[in-house]
Amino acid sequence: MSGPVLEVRELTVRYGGTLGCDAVSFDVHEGEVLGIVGESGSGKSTVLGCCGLDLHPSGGWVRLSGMDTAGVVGAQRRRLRNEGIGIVRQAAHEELRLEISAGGNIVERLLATGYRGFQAIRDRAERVYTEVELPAGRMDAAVATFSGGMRQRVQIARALVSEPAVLLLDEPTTGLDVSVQARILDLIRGLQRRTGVAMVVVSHDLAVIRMLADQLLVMRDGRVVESGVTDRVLSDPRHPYTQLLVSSRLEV
Amino acid sequence: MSAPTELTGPTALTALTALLRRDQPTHLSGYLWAYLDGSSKREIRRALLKAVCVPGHITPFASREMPVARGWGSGGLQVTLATIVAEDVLKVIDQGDDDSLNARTMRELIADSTGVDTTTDARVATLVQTRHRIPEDELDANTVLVFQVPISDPLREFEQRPTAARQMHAEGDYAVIWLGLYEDHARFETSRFSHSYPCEIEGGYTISTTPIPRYDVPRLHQAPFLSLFGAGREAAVYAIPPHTDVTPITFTDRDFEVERFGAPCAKCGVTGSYLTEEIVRGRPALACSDTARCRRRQHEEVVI
Repeated sequence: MSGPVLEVRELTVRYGGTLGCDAVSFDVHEGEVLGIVGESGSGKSTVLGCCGLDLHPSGGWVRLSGMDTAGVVGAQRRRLRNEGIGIVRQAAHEELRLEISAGGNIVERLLATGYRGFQAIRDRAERVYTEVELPAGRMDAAVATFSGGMRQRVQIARALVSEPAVLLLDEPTTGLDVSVQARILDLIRGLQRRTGVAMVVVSHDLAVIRMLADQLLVMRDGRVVESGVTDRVLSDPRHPYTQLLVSSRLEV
Repeated sequence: MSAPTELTGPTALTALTALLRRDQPTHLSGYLWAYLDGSSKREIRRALLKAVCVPGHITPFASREMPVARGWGSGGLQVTLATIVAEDVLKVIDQGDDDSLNARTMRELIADSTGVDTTTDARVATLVQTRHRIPEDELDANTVLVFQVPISDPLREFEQRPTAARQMHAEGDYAVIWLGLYEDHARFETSRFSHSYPCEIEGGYTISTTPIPRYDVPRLHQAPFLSLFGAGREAAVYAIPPHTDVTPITFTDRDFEVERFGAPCAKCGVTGSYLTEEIVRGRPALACSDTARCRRRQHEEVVI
């Protein structure tokens, strides 16, 4: 197999005088899922923002399928984002156009990369729409009429329609009720196994991480304090902060 | 000074040269010739030259206060006044009609301040200021069309921030227009655009063919005449030089369709022209929107 799909080295982001993240490094290979966990403000979303080409690093680099993303700007950057990366965000309205139909939201990334055949993109949208188990017959309804869980499914379909190399999930199930949460996580795991897409999941919820991630980074104040195989980190936490995280989980 | 008849070559360059050569007198019996002062005209002409050089590019210009309300043709009026020459024969239409109030008042303003001849016959006109239609008569390289544009940017409907829209134009990022088209086809199985159909200009910028109906859009493709678009309220001009590719945005497996009317014109009986509803002999009926051509045909029938 070739090199890692996503390669991050010494990634540093400064917001003015504030440090977003400091010297973060990791690799994600095809078929692998990396979890990033940490409290609010620990730099999780900053790291994900750089991987998703939303942010420019102040130092270090991000390579996508072997290509350095630093020099990619303008139309090329947009193309790379549309073709190579899928994003699912916590707030669906940041990624979706609510007044546009579910189908429209799904095909937008295809249209942006130059697909011009109506039936072809429609068929492709229908395929992913069914794959994410959205209710049949609602594909042409505006996303604004969809429930929170359904919106997350539309986001997943939109992310996967261009068959990206990397799927980035930023708190994909936060704010959903637990039964919906479980079903969405199940869907994500199933799709990931089937497609073998490399995935980065950011969450503050250790249950989500345990269910999805193979590898785990624990972040605090912009730095990685512990990393390793998920099961090892969660069952045998070595850093005091990780120990605190694991022990402060509420048990039902 | 040269007559606009020299506009014969096929390229944007000839259109440019012709524009540059459009010398105007400065005064008409004590008043400024063609209403505007010299520096205003220079500003508008400079913007027009740039617009012709970069076909389809929305070019900003310092739009002047005009004696018509913004949104009533102030952009078209400024373009006309800045480019008109003494030898021009002027036609002004609104919705294809030479006699609508808006068309009449603007024609009078232009004619009174320049002394040019006016006509309703598109075949002899050399400068046609228009809103909503392209005259249905065959137009040649001697004609310059000036469009009064309400909303210049085809991205406006989808992206309200002008800075973001400019960036999208620069990068050729028209996915939102395609998305709108997808939505239309998914819901209505056809495009929703009745007018201002988005078109790609020579494989580059996408413009709004505003505000002409779809029926007129194919006539812009490889047209022999120069088309100038003026948006006064938005302070922008753009242009389609002669013999330029104008391609309506449409999916490869969906045809671009123009309006079709089952009935012939209730007045002149012609089929295949663009019809609008009006009262004919006390009844609502469909009649030609191009009134001058319709009237000529009625007259010809009487003669024959």
